[in-house]
Amino acid sequence: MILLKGVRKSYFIGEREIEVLKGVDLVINRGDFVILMGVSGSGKTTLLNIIGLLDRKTEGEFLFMGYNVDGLSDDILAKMRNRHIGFVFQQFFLLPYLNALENVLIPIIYSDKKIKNPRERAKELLERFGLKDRIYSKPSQLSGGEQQRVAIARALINEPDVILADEPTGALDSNTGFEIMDLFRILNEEGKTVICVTHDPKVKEFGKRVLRIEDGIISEDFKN
Amino acid sequence: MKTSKIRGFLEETVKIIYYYKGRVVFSFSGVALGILSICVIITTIEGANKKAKDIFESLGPDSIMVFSGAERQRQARIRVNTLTHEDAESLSRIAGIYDMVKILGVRGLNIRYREKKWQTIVVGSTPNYFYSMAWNLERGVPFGDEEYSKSEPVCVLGAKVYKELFSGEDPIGKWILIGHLPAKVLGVLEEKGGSVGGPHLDDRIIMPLSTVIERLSKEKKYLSMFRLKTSRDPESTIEDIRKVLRDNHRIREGEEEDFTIRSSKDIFNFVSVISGSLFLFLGTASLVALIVSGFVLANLFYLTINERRKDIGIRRAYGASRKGILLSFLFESVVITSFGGLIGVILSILLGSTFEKLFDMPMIFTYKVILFAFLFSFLTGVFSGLKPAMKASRIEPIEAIRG
Repeated sequence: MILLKGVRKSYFIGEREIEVLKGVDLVINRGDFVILMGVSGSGKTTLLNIIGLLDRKTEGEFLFMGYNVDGLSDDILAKMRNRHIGFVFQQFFLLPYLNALENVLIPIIYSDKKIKNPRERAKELLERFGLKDRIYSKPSQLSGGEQQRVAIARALINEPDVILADEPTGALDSNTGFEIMDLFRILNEEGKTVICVTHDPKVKEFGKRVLRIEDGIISEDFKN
Repeated sequence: MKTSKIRGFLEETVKIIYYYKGRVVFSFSGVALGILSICVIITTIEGANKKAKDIFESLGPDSIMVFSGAERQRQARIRVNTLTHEDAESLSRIAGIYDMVKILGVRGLNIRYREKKWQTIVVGSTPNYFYSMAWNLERGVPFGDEEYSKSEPVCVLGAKVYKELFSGEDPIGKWILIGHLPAKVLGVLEEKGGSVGGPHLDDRIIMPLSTVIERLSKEKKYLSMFRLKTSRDPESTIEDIRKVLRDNHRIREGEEEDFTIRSSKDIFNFVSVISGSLFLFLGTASLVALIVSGFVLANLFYLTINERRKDIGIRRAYGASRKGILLSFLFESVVITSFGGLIGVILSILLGSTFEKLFDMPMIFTYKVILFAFLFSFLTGVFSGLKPAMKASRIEPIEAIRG
């Protein structure tokens, strides 16, 4: 499903070239639940951004859902993100002027998929995540855990192939963090592919597979 | 895009605008005020132009007015009568002049009908007054040659005088008291409405000039004005009139004239100048208001882009194209200004009648006003939204959602 071979990524800061990824080889299969571990600055978020079509590699081979995405325009990448990927972020990133339901429906605005009754589906997702009474609440009225569950519902509304989560528990207390990770585990059991970046060793138990990134290369790759 | 999506887009924009309402209020009221003044300009100009056209048409293009008193005196509202019956006689002999209305105005006369009182101007004139001025009667008949030659005490009332004295009662054949002279009402003039800068046209009584001279006024020699029609070119006729009058009044070269000549073109121009300066004044004011509010909107918008980076990043991550972001921000800006424009139009309609009374200017609302208002508010929205929207569309999702 996702294949990287010798992927490198470097940034220019002024004149200086900084290499963040130094040759990553990785295959992620459908139905996997991958935990991407690493300290800050190790390159884990950069790797996630490349897999999530938010950033472009500098060198190497990268196939997403079997497609070579090199040279595709920003707008086509945006369309592919909409179609295939659900994002979950550390800071939730809900839009403050929309209620929970409307936030969940955001990907639908940009979607050309045929999703039947998106409003009904969004309500079902929120109810399933225990937010039945919160459907019409604004993000400012929700707790962190609730906001993150709204964000996960948003990630799922467009029936993506893969869910990418960047430090989804980083802004939550550990109990709430475990609840969120457990939610990912259940979604994975139902067949969703999940890739989750974290620096918190405690959450790695939830994944099927743990990758450790150190200094731009994958240093460990083991199954739980 | 499907209609449901467009509706969703619109609803979302309204929600965004509501959420950032503090920011919106300023630009909003600026646009509203700008549009309000544009509406006022257009309506008053339309009104003034119509007035000017009405005057021009009722005078006719071949009309020449000759007033008593020098230009300077007239401007200072000093009223002296210098034109004489002999002048009228000499002017009627000028080639091309085919019609002459002679007028002697008597001001400040007390009028009475039963217990109702009013003060107005009595215009003594020749029987051709009504026809030459293209002023029809709303009811009754004008006085004719017979009444004129016999100096009969008859009169025709202006619409305003009729309203004040009779308030709906049939006035024809009734007797009113003009000063100490009882006079019979023959008819009532059609209403002309307020005039631009001059006395109220409907507030007057018309009587035969002969009657006024013999029975109402102590003035036997002089007249207030003539109104002439010429079949020749008005310019050269005016030159002839000037020559004759200077001669009659024994005005030597270099000396100031004691009369004033105006063509109907002059009067039309006068009204046009008034509306022109109004346009300049209000036009500048409203443009400044619009431009300032446009800049305020642009700046506030530009500043909030940073605040909304995450918003933009999320939308881009979830599939919004750059163009989509650009359009949504432009759309937001246009919605704000259009709404401001709508408020401006509504305000101008509500305030229209007040303005009318305040400036004594007729205002005419047409579809043009609405069209202009929305065009201007739309353009303000596009211009002030363009730069912020472009900035927004250039934001990279990974930068926006970092940390």
